[in-house]
Amino acid sequence: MSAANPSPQVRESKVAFVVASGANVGSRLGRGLARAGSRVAVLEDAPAGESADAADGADIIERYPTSFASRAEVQRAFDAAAADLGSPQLVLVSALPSSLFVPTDSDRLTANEWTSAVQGAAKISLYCLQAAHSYMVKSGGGTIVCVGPSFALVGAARLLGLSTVLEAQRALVKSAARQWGRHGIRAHWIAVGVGTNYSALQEVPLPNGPELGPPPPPLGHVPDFEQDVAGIAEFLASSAGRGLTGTSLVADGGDWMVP
Amino acid sequence: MSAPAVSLSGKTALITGAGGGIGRGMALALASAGANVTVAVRRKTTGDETAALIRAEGGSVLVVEADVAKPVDVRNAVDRTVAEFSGLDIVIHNANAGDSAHPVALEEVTDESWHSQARVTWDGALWLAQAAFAPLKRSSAGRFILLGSAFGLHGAGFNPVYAALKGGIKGFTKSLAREWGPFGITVNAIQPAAATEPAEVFFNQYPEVRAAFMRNFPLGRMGRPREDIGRAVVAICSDEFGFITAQSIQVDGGLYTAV
Repeated sequence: MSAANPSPQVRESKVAFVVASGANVGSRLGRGLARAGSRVAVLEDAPAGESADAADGADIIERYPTSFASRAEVQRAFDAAAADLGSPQLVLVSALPSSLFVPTDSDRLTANEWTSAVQGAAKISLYCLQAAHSYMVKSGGGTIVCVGPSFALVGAARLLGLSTVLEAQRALVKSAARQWGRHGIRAHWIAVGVGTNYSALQEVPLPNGPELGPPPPPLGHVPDFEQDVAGIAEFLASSAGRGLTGTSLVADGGDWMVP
Repeated sequence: MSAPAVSLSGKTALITGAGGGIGRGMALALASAGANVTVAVRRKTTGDETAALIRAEGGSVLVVEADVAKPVDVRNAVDRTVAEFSGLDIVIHNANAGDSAHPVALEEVTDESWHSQARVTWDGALWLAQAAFAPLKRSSAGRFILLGSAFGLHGAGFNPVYAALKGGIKGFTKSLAREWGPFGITVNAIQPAAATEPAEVFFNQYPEVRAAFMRNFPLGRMGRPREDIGRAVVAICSDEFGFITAQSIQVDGGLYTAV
């Protein structure tokens, strides 16, 4: 079975919400899901006009400007998307404030930077999980997938806040999987290699993989949001993924091969 | 005092939340190994009780009243320690909000419940790191130790907020270790399983859980704050552990073996 002709078990029509922060992340994930047959709503804090490739995919994804400032505002965005497309079977979350991607010495972090950015980011994940739950618990289940840069698994100097938030998000997803599994809700976390996925990190000296020699991952490329990560999420949300929940998948091309 | 297996004579340690439980156990173990100990506590009476136990064994101790969520309190605790003992070598962030034994439904988590724990677990960790950075750099063998939890690894369904915050501590640990490594400071987290007052409160409330839980320990029991957790921390603070950093170390009698 070739990648171009995926299993019917995986390719299942569904409603998917992509919750994204910053330009292009939502578009790329949304396009990947839409081209695989899902009806997609992108809930993002970047107005459509600010997204460099917002027009690409405009015919296959619906956009909902979203504020992540409170649980109520996230819930309102979910409600608006659900009113148009129906209850989501897949919620894909990649909502990380851009301020977290700015390398800063830990002793120079201000109280405001720490509490607003770090705690704020953690609460966005919380709000998204809660909003997803509000629909999935009524519709008999669904799949929630949170996504973040893979360096969080190994840490990076001067990215203390982002590392903290991502590992918190990963634990929160596991808690969701434990609490909501009985409702048919599955939850996962995907660590994605930086590559071109996180432009803000491309100039940041992140730890290389543990191998001696040149650092390219064994697959020769870093998985891409649209081509690869959306497909992994689609698999997790499909009936083929029904035996999985609470997993941490590492889509870094085989760089770290975490235990 | 009995002769310690490992000597920390001449070292100075500061421990937050050392007014009881694991914090008190670590303070007693460190003092027993010869370290000067600052007991940083929110309620001075609890710190005085710990100090009395240390002094009764001939140890050297300072009690400082500090709310770890307040940067000024944390800096004062560090400054007073350095003034009293002419330096600071070991810093342990043990304080927590005490909510770990309360079951919480993820969909019912509020901003208030998140903040009440995050201000201690996360904010306290950063304020302590910032205040202690300069004296730890001056130490020939700086040690910064955070208290994680197996909850943060397996994402306890029991208390998602606690799980998320302790998961975040794992990311905090790895990134700070990479940042502070060049200064000769090691940063590690321990994940203890100890028979503390909150654990007893929980098991008294849910007695049916106790026996089943104890069967999960290969060693057949939870840890003792001083003898099991405290001594492990003494080892981490010793020269023998000087090449170990960025690790989350299970001190749990084999409870969590999925790493």
